[in-house]
Amino acid sequence: MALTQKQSKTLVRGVGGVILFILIVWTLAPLYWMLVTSLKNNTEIYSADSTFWPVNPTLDNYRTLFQKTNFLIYFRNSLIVAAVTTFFSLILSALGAYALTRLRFPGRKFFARALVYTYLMPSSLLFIPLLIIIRGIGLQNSLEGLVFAYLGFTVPFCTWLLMGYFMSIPIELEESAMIDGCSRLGVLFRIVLPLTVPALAVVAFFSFTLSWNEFIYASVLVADTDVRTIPTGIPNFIVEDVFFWGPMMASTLISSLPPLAVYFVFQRFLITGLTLGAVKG
Amino acid sequence: MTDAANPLAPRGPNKQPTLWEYISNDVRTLAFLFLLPTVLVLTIVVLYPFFYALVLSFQDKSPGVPARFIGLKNYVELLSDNDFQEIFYNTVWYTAVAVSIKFIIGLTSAMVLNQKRRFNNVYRTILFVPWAVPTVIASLIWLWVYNEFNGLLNLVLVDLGFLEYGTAWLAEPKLAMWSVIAVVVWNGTPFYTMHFLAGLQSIPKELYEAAEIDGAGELHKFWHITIPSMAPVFTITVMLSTVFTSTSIVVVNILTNGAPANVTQILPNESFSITIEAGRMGLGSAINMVLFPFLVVFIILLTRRLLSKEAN
Amino acid sequence: MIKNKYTRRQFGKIGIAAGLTAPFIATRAYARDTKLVFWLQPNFNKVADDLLEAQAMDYARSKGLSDSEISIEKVPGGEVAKRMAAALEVGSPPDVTRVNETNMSKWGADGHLMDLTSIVDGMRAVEGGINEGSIPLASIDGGIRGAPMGIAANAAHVRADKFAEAGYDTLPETWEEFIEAAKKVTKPPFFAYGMALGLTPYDSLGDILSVVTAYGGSMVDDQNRPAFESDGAVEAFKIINQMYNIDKIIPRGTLSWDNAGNNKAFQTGQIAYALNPTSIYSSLIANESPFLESTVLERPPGGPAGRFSTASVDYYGVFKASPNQELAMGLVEHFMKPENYGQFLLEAGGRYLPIYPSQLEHPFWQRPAFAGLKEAAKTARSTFFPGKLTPALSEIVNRSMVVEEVQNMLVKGKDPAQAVADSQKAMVEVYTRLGEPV
Repeated sequence: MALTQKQSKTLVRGVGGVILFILIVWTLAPLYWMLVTSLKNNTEIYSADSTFWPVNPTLDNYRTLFQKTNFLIYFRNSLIVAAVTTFFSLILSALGAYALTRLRFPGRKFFARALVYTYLMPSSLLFIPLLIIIRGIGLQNSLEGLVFAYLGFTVPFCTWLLMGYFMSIPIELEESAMIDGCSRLGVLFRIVLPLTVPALAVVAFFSFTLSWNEFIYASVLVADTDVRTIPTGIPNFIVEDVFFWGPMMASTLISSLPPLAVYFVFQRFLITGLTLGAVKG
Repeated sequence: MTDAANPLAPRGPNKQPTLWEYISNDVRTLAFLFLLPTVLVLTIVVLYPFFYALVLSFQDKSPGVPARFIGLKNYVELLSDNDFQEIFYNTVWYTAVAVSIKFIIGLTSAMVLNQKRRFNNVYRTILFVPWAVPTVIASLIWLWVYNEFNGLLNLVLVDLGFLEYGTAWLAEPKLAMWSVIAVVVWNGTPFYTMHFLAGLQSIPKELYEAAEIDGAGELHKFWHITIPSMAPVFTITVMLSTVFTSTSIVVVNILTNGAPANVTQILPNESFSITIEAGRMGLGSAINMVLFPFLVVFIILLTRRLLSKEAN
Repeated sequence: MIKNKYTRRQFGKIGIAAGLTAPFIATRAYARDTKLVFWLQPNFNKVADDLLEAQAMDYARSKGLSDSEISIEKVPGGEVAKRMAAALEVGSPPDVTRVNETNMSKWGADGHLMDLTSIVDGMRAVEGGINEGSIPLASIDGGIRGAPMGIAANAAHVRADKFAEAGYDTLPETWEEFIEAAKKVTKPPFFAYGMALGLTPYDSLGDILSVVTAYGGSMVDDQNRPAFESDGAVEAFKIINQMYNIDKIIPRGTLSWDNAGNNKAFQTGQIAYALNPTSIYSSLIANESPFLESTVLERPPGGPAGRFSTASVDYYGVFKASPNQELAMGLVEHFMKPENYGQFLLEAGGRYLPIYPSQLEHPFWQRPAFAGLKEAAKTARSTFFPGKLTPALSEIVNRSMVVEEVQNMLVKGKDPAQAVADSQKAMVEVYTRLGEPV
């Protein structure tokens, strides 16, 4: 039975709806479990007949989290590191991408290609030499040191994204500006960048999430409690306690909020930014 | 370049460019300045550690003890070790499967999200959430979901009558790797979804409309328009994701740490555990180095097409 | 966080300048602000941890240190290896931390630990002296590399109520009887034997060896050479396979347990037997567990070769790299003063047996539950009897090499005799590589 165009379109839409539903359930189930566990008391969490919804919901886990642990400090630190890393990523990658796409100089193609190769060495291997270096410049145990280390993995990706975006901006705009007497730097800041706000949003977003997420460097480069970030603070402070799932789930819930907030704010830019950046490579 | 377009040409009679004007317009100086911070950061934070790790792979070294050069002994030891071969195979299999599943689900999600619906923004945000959750945290959440005694998965399956009592998802040899992959997929699919969605939205509608006028059905449109247009996005996403997936230690470390019996052990984790638990930094480094050439070849193959387009 | 970059050229210039100079702004010769760094490894017992921290702060203040000049870091056991590797490599380990036997063997042999003989002599001067059995392992290169701070006896924590339901008044004395009882006790999801079988040191090896030694096997011989391959070991492996795969009295998930796995399972009432240092029991006390009354401490079941319990010693170590060695040693001395130490032991609720035998007279230790523990401690041997830990053995322990072979047997169907043979082979390889006698 061959379907008409209209029928096949409706079928695809219907199937799409079902798939969407499944995807949403699959995505949300663990998060639902996280939410529910964070509201249960210990007896309920560990009893033989666990429930899908707390019988006696309680905010105790959150209280423990805020009052008895250093969670707020970790949260603040993560925020600072992510924000500063994002800031510098934007600057470095914008400058780098512009140089690589608009300025002709020897070694340009090699450099562009080399960017990707920087990702091939995992942080699980580099952390010891990196610790030595960071100590050498006196940034050990500091948020600045973390930012410096994180730039190593946000900048290549962000530069690449912006390269793709810059390449899609017609060069005529810049050339006519230069004929009008504008300098190269001026062109960058007055013409190119304003047009690339969506891509900058993507860069800001990825940098923020990547630094918010990072675990290995954070656990090794930083030791003092008041300088720790969330990914290391959380597993550490709870590991020794047996009944930790409640506060742990409360902390994971709160830690997921900032990247989500950033995403929400930038959402409309993300799609356009990615379109031109990723597609053109 | 005509005089009018050359910023370095003297403007007006006898006017030489000032130093600042020179700097801000000379291509090579600008390029140098613009790239300097990036080069600086990358050299210090990536290049130097890489070469350090490379040298380390030819040494025998314990933490705090001076290094001893031993040439290729580390590599020889690896290649003749059965465990290593198994772990290598695991890594390839795990990466291939995870990337494939992420690809399929990502593409499906992107296509579904591309359809017109009310609240699409809400759906997009929801499907995006797993990527916003740090991998460490996602692994911990799933660790709790998989818990043999009180986890969500067993709870649901037992309540629905599929199981009599909880299964140890992370300890059963046949299930463990799949359980790990499920978490990697959950955490990483939005990366694909976002890129693919952007790619889909950049395909000009006229292409589809023209095909419809010719009487093409959904399937035809998909194969002959969607897929070819998406080729560059596919390539980049798969390439980046392969590199990230095969070099990340977090998920395996938290969920299983290689158990049971190395069934879920992958190369980066083995390297980490050899370096830390055994204190054999040289061997640990060699393990990572072994993966490196394969990834490089993979990247070269994939990007040859792309970069030749860029040169045009 | 939207950076409005399209405002002014000035902003761009500042940006470049900032980007270039940021790494150099903080260039200062790296000097530690703190004079004393103590890595506190948590004890599964918050009260005890807090007490230790308070004692450390008291000591610091008594020496005129301000609060910011002492740094007490909580480093969980699982993190120590990673952080210490990085710390040693950059030359800045902590000043003081707790050192278990495996680490004593490794760090001592690598020459990182200071000679604490003066402190130990001070401890010996206390009435009743100290348990001298703790000294040999720490005697490396002519010095005593750590001050022993407690005896961690491994006790079988047993849910007497569950065994009573199945008709057993006490824990069966042999493994064979134990399996019979366990089959009756096990009603999934409740399992009899929470046998740690994960690849994280040290519980798993302890559980495995408790069966191996009952049948006459051991890791090393009295010359410290690998001696794992023996009939006893093969017999033991067969029994472990039977328990896991045939009688199924062990929860399947133990293969992926970390060091806290059996602790958690016991405390949440999912198993009836866990072999562990008495941190489990002390947690039961601290958490006012409903299972406290029904839990007894016993020696593990035995076999043809006898019924043995094991114990290990933990030490406080001071690192040679410490910039203030006298200050660091003073902290250890402070911890080991009988009053401070005694208090810590009480709060630790049985986690450690006193290193000063005289302290065993304290009422706390007269609890009926501890009777079994004291009995176990009296006859306890080192896990590695008749040999002792050496760097090669430490590596084998840290890399869970024998446990891996057990997993191969349980999960990949490797023949028990083959698994034992492969364990021996792996051990010999390590010993040879590190130049130790085989």
